[in-house]
Amino acid sequence: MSNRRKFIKNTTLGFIGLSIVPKLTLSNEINTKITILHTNDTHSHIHPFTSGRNKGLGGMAQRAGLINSIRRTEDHVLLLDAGDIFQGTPYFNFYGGELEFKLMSEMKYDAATLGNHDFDNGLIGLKKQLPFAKFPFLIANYDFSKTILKDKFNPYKIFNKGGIKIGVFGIGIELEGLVPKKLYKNTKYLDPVKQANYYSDILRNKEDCDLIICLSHLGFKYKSNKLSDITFAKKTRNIDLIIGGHTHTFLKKPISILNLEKKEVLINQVGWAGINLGKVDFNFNQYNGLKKVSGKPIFIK
Amino acid sequence: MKKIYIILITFLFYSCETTYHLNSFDSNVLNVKSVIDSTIYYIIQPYQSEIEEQMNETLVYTKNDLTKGRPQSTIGNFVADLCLNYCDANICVFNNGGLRTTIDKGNITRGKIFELMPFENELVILELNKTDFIELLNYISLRGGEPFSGLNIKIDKNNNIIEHSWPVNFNNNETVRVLTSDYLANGGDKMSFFKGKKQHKIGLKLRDAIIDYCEKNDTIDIRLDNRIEIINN
Repeated sequence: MSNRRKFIKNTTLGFIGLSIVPKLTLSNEINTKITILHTNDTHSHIHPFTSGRNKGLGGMAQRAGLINSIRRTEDHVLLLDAGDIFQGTPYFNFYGGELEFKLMSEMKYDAATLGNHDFDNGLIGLKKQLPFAKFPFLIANYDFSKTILKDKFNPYKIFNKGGIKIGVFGIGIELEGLVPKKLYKNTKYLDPVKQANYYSDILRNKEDCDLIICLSHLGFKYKSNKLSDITFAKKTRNIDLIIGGHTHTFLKKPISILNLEKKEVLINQVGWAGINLGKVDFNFNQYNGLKKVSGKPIFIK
Repeated sequence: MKKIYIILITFLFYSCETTYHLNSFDSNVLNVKSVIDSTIYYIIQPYQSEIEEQMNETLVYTKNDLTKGRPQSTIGNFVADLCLNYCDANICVFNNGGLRTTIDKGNITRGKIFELMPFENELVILELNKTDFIELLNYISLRGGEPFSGLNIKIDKNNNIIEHSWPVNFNNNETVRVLTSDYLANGGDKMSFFKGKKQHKIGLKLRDAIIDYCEKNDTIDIRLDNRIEIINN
């Protein structure tokens, strides 16, 4: 509430300023908060756990209740998932993911990426459920062009929240050895680092995104030299936040890694089964001022 | 002929535009145990009522908690032992990652078995020669233990094999019959000794084998035993 009041106050001052000082010297500062909510590896857990150490935690109606309460207080929310929505309870065995996609659509998820278990009923099983998802799946390093999922996914999507441009793209794990070939068929795995650098460069420099988020199903960290979010973060540019999955890692808070350009990247992951919801708030300062827009040739007939 | 004049004017134009600078961030991990959203609740209802009767059916009673762990676990021993009893095989091997939940002491429902084994994996038998069998033993020991049945292994604290039993003699090119899932037989979890081997299908899903076993028993009493031991010296 106090933030909003401050916003109105600043805006009002801005208008007064506009009328009495020359435009070119105007410099007005406003703060905008972007709230990223995220899940990973929810694995068809529709209901809370009824036993074990996570007893009473999770549940999709409960997750929706929590998200609703956050949406009531935050103006600019982006809700994201890092894959493995499928597989883990009889709901998937009986309905193939239909209910998971319907409920996530109802919660107004903005985007998700694909995890290895999202291939568990094959490309055909995934294709069959896509009409129930009212949110896009973003994946930049699986080439589906020789499969029945051709043209079903985009590598990235840009969201505009409160004037902030947010670029979101998805990165998947190598399927060979993890998913039977008969399920992923001719899906081609492309180098995650190369694809990420290519698309994050577009998002930062061509699309002028203020915030770049990678939804990754690579996994947080490995003892072997297998590519993980940590090694991926060191080899890439332009990413601000990696929302991870696959390893079911419970992080208490995001960890910070320096990227290829020695700039900070945050990595977060919130366990599995919808036990937790991750929340990362980014605070932006806004400056209104003189900016060079473009130099374009103009043709006159 | 119409004259067309093309005048190329290149100029920079300026405007008042907004720029944003990422200033700081805060983060939170929120436990999901909130008040339920009724819209979501009502969407779930018909799906739930259709399956809950059969999923809530009690199949068997377990006297102990069935938990995960290495080098052996009660849940791993439970699954590997019951499967080996189903088939004409010498040994049985699965992977820890494939057993997806733990089970508390008490009644086990059909739904719980679906959580334990959600995958549609089928049981298959493969024949391994002596070299591949040794590789399998090394795999189990290097990973500090995976669910298995029909073998005894002693390892040191650095996961090296000290001694093991021989399920067959390997005389005259004899092979050992290994029961596993088609997922692992097809290269899942990097069990390379299974690569290229002919798979004899049992015609039974792993989950169905577990359910069938539970249905045919009243009580199970699963314990850790000496199938794998870590020797400290």
